[in-house]
Amino acid sequence: MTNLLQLSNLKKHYPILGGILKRRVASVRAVDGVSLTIQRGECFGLVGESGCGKTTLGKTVLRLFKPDSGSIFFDAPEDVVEEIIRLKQKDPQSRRLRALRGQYDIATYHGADLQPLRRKMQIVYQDPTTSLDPRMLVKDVIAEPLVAQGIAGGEEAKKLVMEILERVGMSDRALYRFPHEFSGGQRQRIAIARALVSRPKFVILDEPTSSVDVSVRAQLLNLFTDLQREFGLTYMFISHDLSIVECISHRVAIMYLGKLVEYAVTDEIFHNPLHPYSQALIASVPVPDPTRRKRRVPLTGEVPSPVNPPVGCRFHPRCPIAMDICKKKEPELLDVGKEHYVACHAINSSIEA
Amino acid sequence: MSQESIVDVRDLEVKFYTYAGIVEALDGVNLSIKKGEILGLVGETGCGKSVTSLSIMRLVPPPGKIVGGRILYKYGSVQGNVLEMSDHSLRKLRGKDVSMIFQEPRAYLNPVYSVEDQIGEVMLVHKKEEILQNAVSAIEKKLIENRRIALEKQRVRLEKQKTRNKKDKMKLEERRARLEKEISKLASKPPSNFEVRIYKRLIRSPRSRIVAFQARFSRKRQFKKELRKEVVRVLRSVEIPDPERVARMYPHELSGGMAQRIVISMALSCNPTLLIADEPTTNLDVTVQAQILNLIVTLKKGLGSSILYITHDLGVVAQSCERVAVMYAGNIIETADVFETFSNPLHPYTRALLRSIPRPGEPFRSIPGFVPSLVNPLPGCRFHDRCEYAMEICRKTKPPFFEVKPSHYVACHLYGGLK
Repeated sequence: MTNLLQLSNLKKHYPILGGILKRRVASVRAVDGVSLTIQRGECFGLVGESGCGKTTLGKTVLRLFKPDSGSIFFDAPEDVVEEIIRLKQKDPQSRRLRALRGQYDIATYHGADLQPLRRKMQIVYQDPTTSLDPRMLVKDVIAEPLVAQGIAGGEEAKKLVMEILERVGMSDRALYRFPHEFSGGQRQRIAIARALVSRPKFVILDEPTSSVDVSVRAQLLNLFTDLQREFGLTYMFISHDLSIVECISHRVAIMYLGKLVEYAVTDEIFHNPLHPYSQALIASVPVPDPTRRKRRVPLTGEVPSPVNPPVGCRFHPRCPIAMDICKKKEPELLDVGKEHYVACHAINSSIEA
Repeated sequence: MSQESIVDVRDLEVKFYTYAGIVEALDGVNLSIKKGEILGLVGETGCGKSVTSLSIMRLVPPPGKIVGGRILYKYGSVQGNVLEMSDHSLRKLRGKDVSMIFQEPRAYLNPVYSVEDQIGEVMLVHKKEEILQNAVSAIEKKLIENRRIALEKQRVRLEKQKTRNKKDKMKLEERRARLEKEISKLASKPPSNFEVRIYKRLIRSPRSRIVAFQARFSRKRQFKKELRKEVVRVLRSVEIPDPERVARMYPHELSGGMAQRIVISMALSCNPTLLIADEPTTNLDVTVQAQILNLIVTLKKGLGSSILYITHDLGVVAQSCERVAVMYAGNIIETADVFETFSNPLHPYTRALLRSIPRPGEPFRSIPGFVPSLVNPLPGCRFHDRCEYAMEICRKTKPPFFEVKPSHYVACHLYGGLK
C-alpha cells in the first residue's frame, strides 16, 4: 500500500497572550512533534484522553490551522517526500528544499493554494447540532461545498446532493427541511453527506458517534465502512472510545499530551500494548461482561497541563515503571518490529540490550 | 446481599403536558431498589431513565406530572409514599436520605461559589446541629484548658504564700479549698462565652427568629472552622489530593474528573441511604471513568448505601452493577441479576441491545427502526414494531411485568404471563 498522508515532526502551539502589550507569555503545546503515515484506503484510529491534542492534530492536517513547524505531505510522490526529509536534515537552507516544500508540503501553503486541497480532504465533526447551520436548508448545507469549489451549481448540484443523500441512507424528502427537524443520527448523516459530496479522498472523522445512542451508533459505523469501500476513502478516525476504534480501524495511534506514544496495527495495539500508558488506557475500558470484572484502577491522577509538560517522558509522573532516565530524556518513537512503534525508554532499552 | 428493598416504585405513570400533545413518558414503571446494592438502569436516550430517577425524589419538572403509582420509602428518617409527602418531609428527604449525582458536573456546580461554600451549604441544611455541637465542644475544650492553666497557676502561687497570723491562715485555707473545688468542677460545668451561648441557643431552638437575630452579632468563628474541617474530611474521602487547597477553588479551576468528585462528595456528605447516579461518567475519559467507578463502589461499601446507576454504557453496567433494569419507551421491560442479564437475556430488546455492542472482527449490528414517539405511543407492547418475534397479541395487549424465574422479571408475551 502506498502512503496517502505523511506527517513529519508536526507542531502546533497555541499562544497564551499576557501583559499590557498582549505578548506571547507561554504556549499550549497541543501538538508537539507528531510523525506518522496514513496509507491509502485504510482507517487510521487516533486515540487519547480529552485535551491530548487529537482534534488539533486533525484540524492541522486539514490546514484549518497553520502548523508552527513540521511538514504535511498529502498525496505526494514518495521519492519527493524522501528527498525533502533528507534535505531538511542535511541542508535546511537550500533553495531546492524551499522549492520542493512550496510545491508538495501543504504545511507551507497559503490562502488560495489551499482551495483545491479542501476538495480532497474533509471532516465530520463530533456534534452535528453545532456543525450544521440551523438557518440553511439541508439541500443548501450539502450543496455548499459544491458551490464554494465551483464544481456544480443549480440543478446539477441538486442532482449530486440527492445522489449523496440517498447514499447515506436518507430520502429526498429531507432536502427542504432544516437540520433541527432531524434526530441526532440523521443529522450526523447529513454532515457525512456534506463531507462526501465533493468526493474527497481523505476524511477526518472527529468523534462522529459520541453524541448518538448505542443502536444508532452501529448504523453509523456500518455506513462509514460501506462508504469507505464504495468511494475508496481513507479515514482518520479520532475517538476516545476504544471499543469502536478496535472494531473500525486498521491501524491505531495512541496520543498523550501532544505526542504519539505508540502506534501499530489494531490487533497488535489491543493484544500486545507495550507502552505503559497504552496498557493503562486499554485496561480501563469497561468490558461488557460481568464475569470479567476488574477492580484495579489502572491509572491514578490526571493529565498534566500541556502548557508545562513534564520534562523528559511526558508520562513519567503517572508511569508505574518510571526510571531515572525518563525524567531527563524524551524517548523517541522507535520501531520494535512488525511496524509497531513505541516511545518508551523501558521498551527501547530492552530492545537494544 | 440482603433482599429487603429500601425503595419500591409501583405502577408509576408520568406525563408531560406539552403543546405538541401529552407525552406519556413513564407508563407503569415497577422498580425496587434493594438495600446495599448497585442497580443499573439502562436504556436509550429518551426512554425515561432520568424521569424515573427524578420521580423518585419527586423532582419532575413541569410540564411533567406524576399521574399515578406509588413510590414507597421503607428506610431512613422519612418513610412512606413520596407522592403524598409534605414539602417539609421532602426537604428532609432530598439530599439527606436520597441524593443525586448528575451527568454534567460543571453545569451542576454554581460557578460563583467556591467548592467549600457549595459543600458547606448541603451540610448547613442537613447537618447544622452536629456541626454546632462540634463547635461547642471544641470551644469548651479550649476554655476548660485555659481555665485549668489559670487555676493551676493560682494554686502554685497560693502554696508559695506564707502566713504570719491565724486569721490570714484561715483565709488562705478557705481560698485553697475554693480553688480545689473549682478545679474538680471544671469538667462537669464547663465555662462558657458568648460564642458558646449563641451556638447552644441555635441548637436548642434552630427556628427561632430571636436567636437568629442574636446569632448575627457573633462572628461564629469556631462554627466556620468546624464546617471547613467537615468539608475537608468529605473531600479527602473522595480521594482529592490537597483538599485544603481544592476547598477554596472555584468550579472553573477544576478538571472534569475533579468536578465530578466534588459533586460525589456533596451527594455523599450526609451518608444517604440511596444515591442516584445519572450517567456520572458519560463525558469523562476512560481512565477517569475507571477511577470514578472504583470510587463509587468503594464508597458504597463504606457507607452501605444503595445506588441507582443510570447509564447507557453496557460495559459500565457489567463492571459495576449487581442488578440491571432495562428500560424502553417508558417501560421497564426486564430486571435481573447482572450475570443473568448478560448470559441469558429474555426480552428481544435486551438481546438487541447486547448485540449492538461493537465486537472486533464482527460487523456492527444495530436495532432496526427508530425509538417510537411517546406522544402517541403504540398500543400493546411498545416494542412490537421493531421486534422480530412480534405476534398478534403484542399489537393489542400490553404485556404484564412478571417473574419468569426467581428474581428475573420480564415484560414480554413470548414468555406468557397472562392469566
